Amino acid sequence: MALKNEIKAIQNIDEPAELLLSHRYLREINFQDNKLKDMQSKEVAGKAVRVIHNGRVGAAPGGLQTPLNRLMETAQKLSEFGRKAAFELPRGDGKLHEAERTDPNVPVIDPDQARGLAETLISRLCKELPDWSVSGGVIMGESINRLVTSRGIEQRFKERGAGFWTCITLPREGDLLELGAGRDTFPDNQTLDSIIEDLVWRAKHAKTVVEMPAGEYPLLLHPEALSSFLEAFNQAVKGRAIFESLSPLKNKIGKKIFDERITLVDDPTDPKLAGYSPFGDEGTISAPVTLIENGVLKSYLTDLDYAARLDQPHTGHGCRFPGSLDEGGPSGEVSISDTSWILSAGNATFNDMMSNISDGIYLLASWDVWSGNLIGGDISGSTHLAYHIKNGKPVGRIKDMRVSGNIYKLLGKKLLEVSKERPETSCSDLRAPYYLIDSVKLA
Amino acid sequence: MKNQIHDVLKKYRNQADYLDVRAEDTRKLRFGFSNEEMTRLSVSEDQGYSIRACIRGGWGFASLNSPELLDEYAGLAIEQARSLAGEKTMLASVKSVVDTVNLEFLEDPRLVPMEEKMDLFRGFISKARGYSDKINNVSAMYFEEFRTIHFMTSEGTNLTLEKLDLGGGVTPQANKNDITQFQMVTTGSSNDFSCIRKMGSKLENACRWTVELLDAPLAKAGRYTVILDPILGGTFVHEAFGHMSEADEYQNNPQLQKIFTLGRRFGSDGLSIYDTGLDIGSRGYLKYDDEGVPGEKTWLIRDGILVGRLHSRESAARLGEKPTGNARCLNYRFPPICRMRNTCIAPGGASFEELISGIDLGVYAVDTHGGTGGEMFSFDAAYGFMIRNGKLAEPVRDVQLSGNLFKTLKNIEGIGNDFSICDDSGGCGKGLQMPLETTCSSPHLRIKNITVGGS
Repeated sequence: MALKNEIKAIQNIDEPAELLLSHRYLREINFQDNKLKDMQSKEVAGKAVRVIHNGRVGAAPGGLQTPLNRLMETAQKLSEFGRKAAFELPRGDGKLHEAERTDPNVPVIDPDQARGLAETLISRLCKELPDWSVSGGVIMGESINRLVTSRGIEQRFKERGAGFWTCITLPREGDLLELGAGRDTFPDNQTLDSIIEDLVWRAKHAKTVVEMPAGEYPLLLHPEALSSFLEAFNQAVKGRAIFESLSPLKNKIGKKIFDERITLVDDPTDPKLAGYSPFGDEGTISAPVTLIENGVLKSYLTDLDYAARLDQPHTGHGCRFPGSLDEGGPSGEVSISDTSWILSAGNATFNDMMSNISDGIYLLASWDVWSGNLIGGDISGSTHLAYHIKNGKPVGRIKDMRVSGNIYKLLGKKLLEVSKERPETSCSDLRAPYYLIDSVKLA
Repeated sequence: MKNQIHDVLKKYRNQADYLDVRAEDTRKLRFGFSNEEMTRLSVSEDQGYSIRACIRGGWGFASLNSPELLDEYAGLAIEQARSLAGEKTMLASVKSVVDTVNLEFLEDPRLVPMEEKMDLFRGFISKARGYSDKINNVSAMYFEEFRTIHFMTSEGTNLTLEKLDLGGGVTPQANKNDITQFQMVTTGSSNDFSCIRKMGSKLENACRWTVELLDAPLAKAGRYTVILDPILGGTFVHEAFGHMSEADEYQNNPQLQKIFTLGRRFGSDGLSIYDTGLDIGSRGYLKYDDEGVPGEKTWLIRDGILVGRLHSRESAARLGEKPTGNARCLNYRFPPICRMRNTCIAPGGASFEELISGIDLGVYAVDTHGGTGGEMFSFDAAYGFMIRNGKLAEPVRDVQLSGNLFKTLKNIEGIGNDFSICDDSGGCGKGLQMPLETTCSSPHLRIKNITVGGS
């Protein structure tokens, strides 16, 4: 059935029904160990239907070629087994609402432009760090997502953009050093210079490994490492965890859970951040949500279903694309997903925070902070990239150790300083300051 | 689908040193419960294609959903390969294979009605909830994925494969003040739905530990001699060593090749590790990999000495070794890369009592909540026991283990005489290709100087 007919068919259905169509075109170039490795082109397309049939929810995703009526029948049949619907689909005005985001540095999808960036990364990093191997990838893409419902909603969101990642490695006996950087945008020259400069700084200071005794130390937390730590809060603040009594934040709205210097906003409306999403995937209109204000919990993140179950207004965080960019078409079901997080800046400068550390840790990356009783707030992560700071200066890299603590204490009574600076980092969906935290366990 | 890819291959085969074309048809069922309520239910279908071309060592790859784009994207893959062409294509020789592999089930999940599958899980949940009123939430999930894959190469390989991957889990959870504890009963298979039915027998133990650990202390953080049970031992070998064996990571890196030179001592005497695609029924079973190379048993370490790696055809050619059938892709959207199948520590000769004797202060770590690999690996045990004076002592919770790959392999002091193939419902991640179904297997292990995170 042609697209127009499918749209009409959904719009004319009596019962609540949604059709989400997604079409993405991706071009990618990858490089490994200082050489271009492969080029890839991908068409990723699919559609998904969700219905409320006889008061129960059913969903069915399929390929673009899958006939709509087959998806509808599957969704309706599955609804017999599905959950009772606690929510209603939002009502629209019957008009098409459109939004668009284009990376200003990507006027068209140009594989030569991607290749140019890949070659630049290889040549510049090889020149600065001749002992190291350079790997990574550049990806460019265009996508169109269109949601149509039988309740008058029609939304279309077009995007064109690019991103890249790079990983430099220095394998030595007993030490496989690996550092990375990336962005969810195509860098201009100034940004590229800054990324390379930062990577080179990290590499030069990481070569020397130092022993550090286990104990408790002040910890200067880079926003990239903070992003890993915040996963504990991310899991706990979602409506499903609250409703199912899995989260320690249940019944804590209005209570102070972090230091008063922390204000955290989930903002899907800022096109400069990776989580930009003008429409939720359930036909909602996106808006910023203050989750924490001066340390006080103000809101949970919800989709239509869990908002209804919690008897609260929804926050529009229903998501139908839970995976990575090229993983597949939309899911039939909805899960709750955060967008871009913005944390308030403080008063200290990064340089002052660093120079005030007589014996401590500067943690930039910890990739395995998922372990432990995460939803309870307990975090434990390896020192993938951490420096020993003595008298305000990095003296070497800490290797094979772990930091741990509880996020509500670390960002609560243990928080010493918050920086003014909120740098752009590889976590393109986070804008956050540096934090200086007291007495963090190192083992 | 088969005819479509055959036509594309015929048209373009002479324009590249190597060309392969793949078509997949996938049907998935997933559902999940939270307590008695169904929280997710999805039946999906997906069809797609991919083309991979190599011209003088330059690779082009294209994947698509719309069959009318197949010809255009094949041309694109070749153009991309040509634009990266260098000196020469290096692919280890393999015999071309023509085969059709149909699924052979012990219990076919397609013959189990949906209602019966759901009732099975409702029964598990009810049993878990009834164990103790301290258990305030029981979540459960099930998935099954059927794929039909057509794969052809310019060298004459022509395969039609049916694949099944299924798995399930039940997770009871309890809270007390700020402490949350959960245990996972989880399983998976590539041919047998009855593994799901058998989960019920493990539930009581899972519920018991969920509740008991609420009152258990945290292990004091530090370095210990640790005994890993077979499930954790399997996770350990996968995370700590398996990823480092994936040869595409260093096929072009002389520094890494020097560190991973065959013949070097990597582990203690008596430590032997292999990776196999031959265990029928395990999630890591692989009759052919995604380059059409037959699966095999590949020794990686024998008696502590590095003897092998996990190869694709290209990595094997570049390192002058033979392909091992480890080139795998998550699905048609990705080119194959070196991945594990069933990664195993071979059994040794020690009984559990022999392993634990002589440990003045240590930890017995049981079952797993997952892990991460690399030079510094880490994983979570589901629970543990302190070992005091050679005997199991008090249970401890939230046992996180980490260590350095190179040091830890040499610190293995004892290898048990028991051996278990451990299939769960999780999956392996590498780059964006996750979760890929793999299996991990091991006996009990005794390892000194492992870092245990905790209190």
